[in-house]
Amino acid sequence: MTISIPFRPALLIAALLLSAAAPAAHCRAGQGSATLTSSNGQLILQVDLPTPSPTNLIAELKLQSRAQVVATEPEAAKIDKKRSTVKWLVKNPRQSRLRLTVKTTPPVEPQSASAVVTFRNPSDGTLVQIQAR
Amino acid sequence: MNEQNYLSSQVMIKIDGARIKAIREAKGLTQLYVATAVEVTTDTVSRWENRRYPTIKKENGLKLAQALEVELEDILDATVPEEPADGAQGAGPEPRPGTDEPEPGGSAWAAGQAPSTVLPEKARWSRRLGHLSFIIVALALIAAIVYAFSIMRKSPETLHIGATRVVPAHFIAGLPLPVFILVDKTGDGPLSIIMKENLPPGCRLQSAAPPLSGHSGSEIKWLTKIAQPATFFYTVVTEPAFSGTLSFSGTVKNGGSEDDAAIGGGMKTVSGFQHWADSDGDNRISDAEILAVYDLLPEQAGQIVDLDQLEEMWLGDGYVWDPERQQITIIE
Repeated sequence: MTISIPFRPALLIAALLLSAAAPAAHCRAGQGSATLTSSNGQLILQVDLPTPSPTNLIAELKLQSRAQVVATEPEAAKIDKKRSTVKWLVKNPRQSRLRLTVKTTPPVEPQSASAVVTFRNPSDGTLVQIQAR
Repeated sequence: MNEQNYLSSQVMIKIDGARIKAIREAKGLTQLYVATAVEVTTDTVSRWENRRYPTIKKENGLKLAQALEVELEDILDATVPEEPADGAQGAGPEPRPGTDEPEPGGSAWAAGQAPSTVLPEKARWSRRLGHLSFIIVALALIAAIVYAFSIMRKSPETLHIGATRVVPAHFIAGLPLPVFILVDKTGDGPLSIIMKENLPPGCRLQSAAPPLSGHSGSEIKWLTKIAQPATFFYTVVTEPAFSGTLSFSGTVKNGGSEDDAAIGGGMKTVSGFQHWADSDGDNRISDAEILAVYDLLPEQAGQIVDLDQLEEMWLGDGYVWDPERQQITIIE
């Protein structure tokens, strides 16, 4: 009984030290998303990157077979006429939102196209694929 | 107050709480009346009666006896003699100024454990033990804090450093083969490292990034500082006729450490007909394979590795190695 009171400040200090040493909680990483839209006759693949952002990513857009690609922005790595696909390799994306556009003749509606975005999870190196909605 | 009066006021007496209560009730007096007469609180009077404060100042005892209209002897505990002034501090609870309440922790009596006899030495030692315990705990905490700070100050140089080698499973003899070393570090601030790699017999160094600090025989080394996890990278090439396995080994240590640590990860690669980036050996560079390469390659690597050819292989339908012409043919 007589020695219990002197221990109290010690316990308080120990509790403060322990609370200061507790690691901060990590933020949950975003999952990323991709969306196909159209504007002014252009098909737009909008990619919202996850957090943390991948170092590199590949976006592949599949069009209707009769559509001819007239232009892409940014420049695609490959336009495969046989498969009607457009492929981008985006290195070190600097923005959290990417806009990849394709101009075709005739114009392609988003409903008749599909896209897949592929990247490696920066945390563990696993391959992640996002289907555009 | 002269010295004699002062000493008289400091004399502690042991009272008989039950008798005080009996006298008070017999005379129809309230605790409030007694408390007012003695100039203490009703709580104090209650504790006197309940034997929670079995000793009180003689001065208060006299007032109490007067309030109860009895002699001092009538309220004393007949079993205990009066305590002298010099023994008062250790003999029982030390009264707070203006009250007869003891200081918290001053004695076991304060918790209601009224002993049958007064034990001044025991109480004194108990208090000393309490103080000693506090000092020991405080010193231990200070030592722990000093130790923690010393660890933190040393952290940039002494914390763990790890290096992992990534070497492709196979390669084509005569073509450049990249080897990656991923150096991980913990702690803030730059870290000096010395990293050495032993090149296996049968190959020669072609390039390295960051630039080497030394190259002697089969040993290459970097002496540099890293501020964050970094990728070291070099390429070797064998003679086109080479056939077999290359085995790599190396060590890394930080500037503050005496010991070398072996570089972990891959060590061996075998010559064949598949490109080093074609990890599954299916003669195609898939999305996963080219992403793995680009994620590994440091920025300087573009000048060392033929990335244009690699991208063409990825965009094509496949590739084949032509040993006679010593070149890769891409299938469109």
